[in-house]
Amino acid sequence: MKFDDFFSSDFFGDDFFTHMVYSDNMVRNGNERRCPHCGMTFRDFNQTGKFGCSQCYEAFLPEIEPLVKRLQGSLRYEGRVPSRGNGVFRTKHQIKRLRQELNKVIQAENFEEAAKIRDEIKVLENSLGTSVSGTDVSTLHKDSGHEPLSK
Amino acid sequence: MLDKILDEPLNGWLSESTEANHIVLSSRIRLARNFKDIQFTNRNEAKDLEKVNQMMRNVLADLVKADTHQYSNISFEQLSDVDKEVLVEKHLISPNLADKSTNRSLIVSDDASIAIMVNEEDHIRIQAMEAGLQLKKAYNHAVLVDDAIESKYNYAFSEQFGYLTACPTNVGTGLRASVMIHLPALTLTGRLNRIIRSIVQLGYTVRGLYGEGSDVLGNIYQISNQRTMGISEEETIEQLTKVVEGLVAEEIKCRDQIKAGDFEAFEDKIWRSYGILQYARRLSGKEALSLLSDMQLGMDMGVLPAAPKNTFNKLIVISRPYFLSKYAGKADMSPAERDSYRAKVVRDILCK
Repeated sequence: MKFDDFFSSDFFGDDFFTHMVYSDNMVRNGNERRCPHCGMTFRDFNQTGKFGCSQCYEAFLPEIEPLVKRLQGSLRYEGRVPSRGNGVFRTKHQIKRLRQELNKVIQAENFEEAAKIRDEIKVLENSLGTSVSGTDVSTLHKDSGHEPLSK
Repeated sequence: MLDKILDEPLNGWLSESTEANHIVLSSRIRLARNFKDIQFTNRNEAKDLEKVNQMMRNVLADLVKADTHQYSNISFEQLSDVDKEVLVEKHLISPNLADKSTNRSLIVSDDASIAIMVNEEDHIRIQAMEAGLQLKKAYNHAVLVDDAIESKYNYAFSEQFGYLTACPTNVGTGLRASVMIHLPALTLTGRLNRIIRSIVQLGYTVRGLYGEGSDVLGNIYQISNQRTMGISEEETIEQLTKVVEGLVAEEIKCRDQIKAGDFEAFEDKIWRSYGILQYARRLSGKEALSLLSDMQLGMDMGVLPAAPKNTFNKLIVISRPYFLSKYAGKADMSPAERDSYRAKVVRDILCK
């Protein structure tokens, strides 16, 4: 590949989405379904590469999942969470982040810090009303190849 | 405030501080956000576009309160075509947005370190800029603005996909982190091709000075992340920072190799470029940037006497066609007039 190709290729051209994941047939036959909110069809999306509203993500979920997986290599959202709105989700998200952090400090054999993080997770889990001895935490210990922390 | 932003070659954020070696010119963060229950820009009618504009005007006071900067709102109806092109040249708005003349606006901080495009492809695109390699600092600034807006209005957000955007390439964090980097030695020795290929394989985009499809001018490249799902904002920034640090190390290594080789041939090239900059009577934009790149490399490597801080950055902006005609105070310049005026400004600045 020539160096200049990186700059000259129109990567997100009009046919980009059509040819990337879906065959022409599939688009032509399958998807006249409309987003109930904005009225966009999946075919419209395929032509422009842009959704009409945020509800399109629900309306075309079966089509969007493979597309996002293909574009992004992942279907997991790992980013920040708005502070307004769903407090439960925010807490769940915090727990998820703390578990990742826990895994890291255990790998680094920083058990003092791990105990602290585990306590934080407990507090958050309590606030959600779920079980304190969550199975996820103990699975993490196994995954990391270390003995579970003594209580 | 608009005049100041349009007329000064370097806005506050860029003139503040630069790296000693001038390799990383600037860092930029962009967050794509849409408001809940309003259709995306491409399907919105004037009434809804205006609603988004109004919401952002309502947020101005909150931004001032949250940040230590003054903010102003610039509606596109008040901008001339040249004004918009200057904003593009200064990377404050996208070429896409510059094509629009109504129902669009720009919210900008007094030092232009924050520029929020309103009714671009997404309802808002928060951009934060810093000089040098300071992605983390730019990100924190963007988050401060993001939080201030979000404390007033709900964003379109889903547990599964994160921040919902018009284009699925941005869905998730909506974060595009990018760095502007000057890589003359790697370009000169031809080593950059292979390095770029591996960076692209790692999932980064490498482009020219003015984004998608733009030419590489003055050996300046823009490197940015692509993925917005399956990765956190912090990881995105950390990883890009590492990639850029790696590139800087390679560029320095390459400069050392030049020193060890036929150094006089290299010095000759640099001095010739410097000579043209000081004496030419007409300079095209492309030629100016290429010569300025040689000049900066020569200064970094001690071949040429150092110029005052920010000379390179300043001349890059002044050399751009629309800024140049604004600088000349003349709206309709012929290409020849422009090349002639460009050569004069470069001479004046370098021979001061």
